[in-house]
Amino acid sequence: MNFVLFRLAVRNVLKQKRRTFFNVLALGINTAMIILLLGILRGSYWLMIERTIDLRTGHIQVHAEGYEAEKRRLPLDIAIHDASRLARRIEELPEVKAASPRIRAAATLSNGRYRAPVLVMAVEPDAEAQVGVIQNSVVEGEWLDSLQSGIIVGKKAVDLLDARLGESLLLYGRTSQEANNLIDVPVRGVFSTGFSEMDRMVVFVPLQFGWEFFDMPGEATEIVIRLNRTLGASKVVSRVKDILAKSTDQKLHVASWQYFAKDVVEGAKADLIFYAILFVILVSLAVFGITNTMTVSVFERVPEIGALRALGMERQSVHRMLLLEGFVLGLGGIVAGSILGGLLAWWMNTKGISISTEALEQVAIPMGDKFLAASRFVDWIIGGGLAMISALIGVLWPARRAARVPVTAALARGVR
Amino acid sequence: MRTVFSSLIILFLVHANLAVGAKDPVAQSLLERMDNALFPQTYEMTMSMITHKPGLDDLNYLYEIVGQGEDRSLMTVTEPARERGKKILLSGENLWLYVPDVSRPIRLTRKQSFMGTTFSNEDVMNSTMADDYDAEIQSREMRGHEVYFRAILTAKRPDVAYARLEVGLDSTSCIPDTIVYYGLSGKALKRLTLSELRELAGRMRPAHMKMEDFIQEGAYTEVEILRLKERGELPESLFDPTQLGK
Repeated sequence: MNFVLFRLAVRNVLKQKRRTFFNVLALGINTAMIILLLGILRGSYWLMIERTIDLRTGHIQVHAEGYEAEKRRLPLDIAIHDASRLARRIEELPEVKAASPRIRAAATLSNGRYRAPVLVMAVEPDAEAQVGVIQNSVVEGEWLDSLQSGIIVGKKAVDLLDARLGESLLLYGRTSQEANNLIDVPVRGVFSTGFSEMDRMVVFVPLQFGWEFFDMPGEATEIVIRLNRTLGASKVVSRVKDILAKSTDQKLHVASWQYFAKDVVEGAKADLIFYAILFVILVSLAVFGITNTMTVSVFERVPEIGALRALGMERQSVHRMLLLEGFVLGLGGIVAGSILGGLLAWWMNTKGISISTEALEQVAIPMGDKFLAASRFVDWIIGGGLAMISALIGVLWPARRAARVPVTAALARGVR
Repeated sequence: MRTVFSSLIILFLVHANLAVGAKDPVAQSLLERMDNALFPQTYEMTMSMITHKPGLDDLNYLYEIVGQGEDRSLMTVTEPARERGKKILLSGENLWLYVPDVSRPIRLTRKQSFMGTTFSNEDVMNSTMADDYDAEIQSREMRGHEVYFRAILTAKRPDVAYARLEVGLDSTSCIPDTIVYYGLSGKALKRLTLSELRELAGRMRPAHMKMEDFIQEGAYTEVEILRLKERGELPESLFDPTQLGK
């Protein structure tokens, strides 16, 4: 780079203080917004995906063939036989942290006065503790014990049924053959995940209890698998299929979490498109802003440019000088935006925006009670890069115009 | 005299049967007679159903019913006015709900509650017990000239709605006065009480039934048979779900 041209560019930028201030401010705000929005996007969707995996889907799920088509009725007659043995075989894969066989069934919980529909999850307590996060969400009492009868109930369900730790509730359900069943079951623990739907409707019992209650010994409606890493879950699916094919003759369906959390995935895709449009708008506004101010600047500086040309400056040099002015404005915008963006990102990463309880009640996707950003250094690179691109595109046309100014016409206007 | 004699015969047979320890044919026979005692083979009936659940308004329905055999009946709602015209058809193993504003009848599942009552749809559908349960006499006592039995009915198959029933009935009329329904775990789910014996369609039958739900304290449905008349053959089209709207 020609250092003289750069110094001229810097001088020209600093000479027009007010115009430079507003240009840098516009670029800075743009940059800050992009940094902030990237962090929010990453934070909210990563959180949603992680919580979906933690609370709903695991990384990979195994079902008996035909279960998915009938899953709305929560069938117990389409089950995986010898589920515990198959889960142990899956755990032999190095990518797998744990595999938990579950029975998922509809039932009714009653305190004798009020009744509430619930989703029963009969699980192996030790395996489930590694696959899900419910064990860490127990706020009263204790987690399940496979040797003892008991039920873990969500905080909202406990409040609805006015139940207490140690108190027995009535659990009513249908066996795998549709016979009625009813049993007293003591409340061993209360959990709170912050996901309203789960805290109100899901209860956990030991798998052995589920085998007896639903009359399906050794069976499970699903095996939920937790991997050591979320990324690459789709690749592990084929390895799980291979190990199952060697272990059983049953026809089983294996799929990764994206298959079972289509609502979250589609929602994220739709929002990505929205955010992309928003970024295009932000960048366009910055470009138009810079173009506008630099065009006016070139118009005002025609005599000056004419003088520089008369002194021997080539058209190309004039062009480069204007581009360098854009570059300097871009740098200013990046610095301002990085500082402003840093402050905003700090707030959103640490304090966030609280979501009201009423709003959380309406949402069927597990979200935390706060919108928190998850900013990364790459956000500053993207924000800064877009600011620089905006500034350079913004000065392209004015720079071309400046380079084409006829010397004589420029001189005729007089130097101010 | 005849009543006392037949009761003594039954009592003797029960003792003999228990001593041998064989499957209980007397109990099974009582069960089959019980299945046939409540309603005539073909009948028409007016029935009210009132459901009380704590914290909710009472549900009050009036039905006109025609029935044939064990697995065919058509119930038409006549009260309340907003539900008038709704029909519930039992035809074989299927239960259909017809709502006048909806073009096609809806098939109901067995496990759903019957019209919001403490009866389930399968309670309505499964009126014969002899096919599903093995009966065994648990105890007997004399009540005046009548022998009163308590029988245990055990499900023959795992897909039978209730794992066990306890039935109390007298040997002459074979009308039960109580039926307690148990789940697989052995816990009681519901109790049906039959009372107010009255002459209906030529014989003494219970005009009042009460189904109590043990899952929710204080929840019950009371059925009152206001009119029961034996009928001749009924047209097949009456029990055809495609004809419900006509």
